[in-house]
Amino acid sequence: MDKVRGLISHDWKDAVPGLLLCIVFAILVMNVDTLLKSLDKAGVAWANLVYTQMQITYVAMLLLGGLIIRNVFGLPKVFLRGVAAARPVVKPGIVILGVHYVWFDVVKVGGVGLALTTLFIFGTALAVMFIAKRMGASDGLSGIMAAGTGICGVSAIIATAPVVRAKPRDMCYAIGTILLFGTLMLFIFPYIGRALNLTEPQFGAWSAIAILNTAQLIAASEWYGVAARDTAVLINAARIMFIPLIVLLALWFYVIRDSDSKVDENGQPEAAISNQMASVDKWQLIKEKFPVFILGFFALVILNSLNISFLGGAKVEGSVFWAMDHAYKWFFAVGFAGIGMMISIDDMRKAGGKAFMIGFSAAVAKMVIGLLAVYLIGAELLTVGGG
Amino acid sequence: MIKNILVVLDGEEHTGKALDHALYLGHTTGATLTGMHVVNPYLKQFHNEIYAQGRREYLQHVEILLQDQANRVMERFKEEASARGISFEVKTRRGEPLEEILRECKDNRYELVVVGGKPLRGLDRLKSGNLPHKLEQRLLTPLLIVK
Repeated sequence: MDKVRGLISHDWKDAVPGLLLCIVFAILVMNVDTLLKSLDKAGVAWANLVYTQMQITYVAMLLLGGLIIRNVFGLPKVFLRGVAAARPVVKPGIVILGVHYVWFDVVKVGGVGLALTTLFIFGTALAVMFIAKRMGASDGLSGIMAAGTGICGVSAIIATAPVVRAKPRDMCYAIGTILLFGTLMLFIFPYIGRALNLTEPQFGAWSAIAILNTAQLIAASEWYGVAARDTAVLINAARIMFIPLIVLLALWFYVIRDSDSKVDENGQPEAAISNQMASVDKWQLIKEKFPVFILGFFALVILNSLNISFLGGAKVEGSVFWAMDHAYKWFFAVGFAGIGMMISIDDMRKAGGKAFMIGFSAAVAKMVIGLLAVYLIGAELLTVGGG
Repeated sequence: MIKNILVVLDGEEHTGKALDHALYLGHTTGATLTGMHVVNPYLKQFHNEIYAQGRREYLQHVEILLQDQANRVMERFKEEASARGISFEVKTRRGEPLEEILRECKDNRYELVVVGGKPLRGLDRLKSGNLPHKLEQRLLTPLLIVK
């Protein structure tokens, strides 16, 4: 019982108002989405313009609406805690989407995606470390920027900051920068994709390379289309398992490698601290930083691949998996409401300093090279077949 | 008659000038100088980022840094104030700096508030939170912005 209690944050009550707000907002928007969709199908011109031409679907309504609520009208403090807590509601949605895949997809798309993301994650991280060094950035800043631009953005900064002992100012700059480019990409990518006539699977892979934040990536790809989302979610599932490895890389690069000669702020040799770091159990670190919930996703993929008749499939009407497939959208909707309302322009205004230049170069490079890569690979290898 | 002066210290380079001015004023007026540092837990909110792992370590890391900064700022203030023989007090508050400064001025009586500021140009004007300017708009106590 105590264990269960330990899982629930003691201040969970603070999250209730914000969560309720997100749920109400999500229900409202989902109904407007259904209405617009039916009007569009019925051939109403303005509905077609809004829904099909401008792509204002439930994803856009939740994100843009949330952004406007937060930054134009302002969000009363009582809601803040719950709105932040609403974002991880995307996670069960991601796990549920496991029913969309069979093991063959994981091998094909996941394999290509894995190769692609490995290349980009470590390529970016190493390039950023190199550039940051040339710019004379501090080790703390270089470490969090390498992790932040290489992999899941702010999440990776959170994981890396204590290890490379990043300073508050650098963290503000880095987080601001990552949020700024993430948000810009989230809103711009779907329109670029359409302008370039990118197929859905290619778009999914492209965003999985360039958009760092998982929630933003899921939002952008869901906005683009179902096939885009399927590809993006699978590649993302593969890539987030790299977080522990990136933390290890940063640890090695900045703390263990050349610590003997350094002296910390208090004049004590850093070697003492880093020896302590070096003695950290690497496996323990990997275990701590591993996103465990993603195993639920793969468990569902395996179950779906086994073709158990009792569970059915995403396309088998009335079956368990079919019901789950219909539920995912609700998790996403509540999560997207939280993402939209968490986009704070004030946070992004904190972007600056060397972090901004590093973030900008990394973002542009990943966007262009990522686009070239998905063009070269083609849509076929990136398409999820499903069960 | 100035009896109590509040100087807001954030450890930034440009606040050094504000401290110098406050010390001078405290010395010449004989007022009690209160040095206040606001511990801003802003960075902590990011710990519940969607895939964040190692949240506890992160929170600890941020807390240690904030405490370090507060100690450093306060030590410097104490040293310089006692070197000049000024009667002084130290205070730390926790929260959003603007709100906490306003609250402190409401809870206690100050005849003057001293803060540091820096001239803002171009993009900086758009990016900066511009605390001195916001204080100027909302604070009822006389305010000295040292640039």
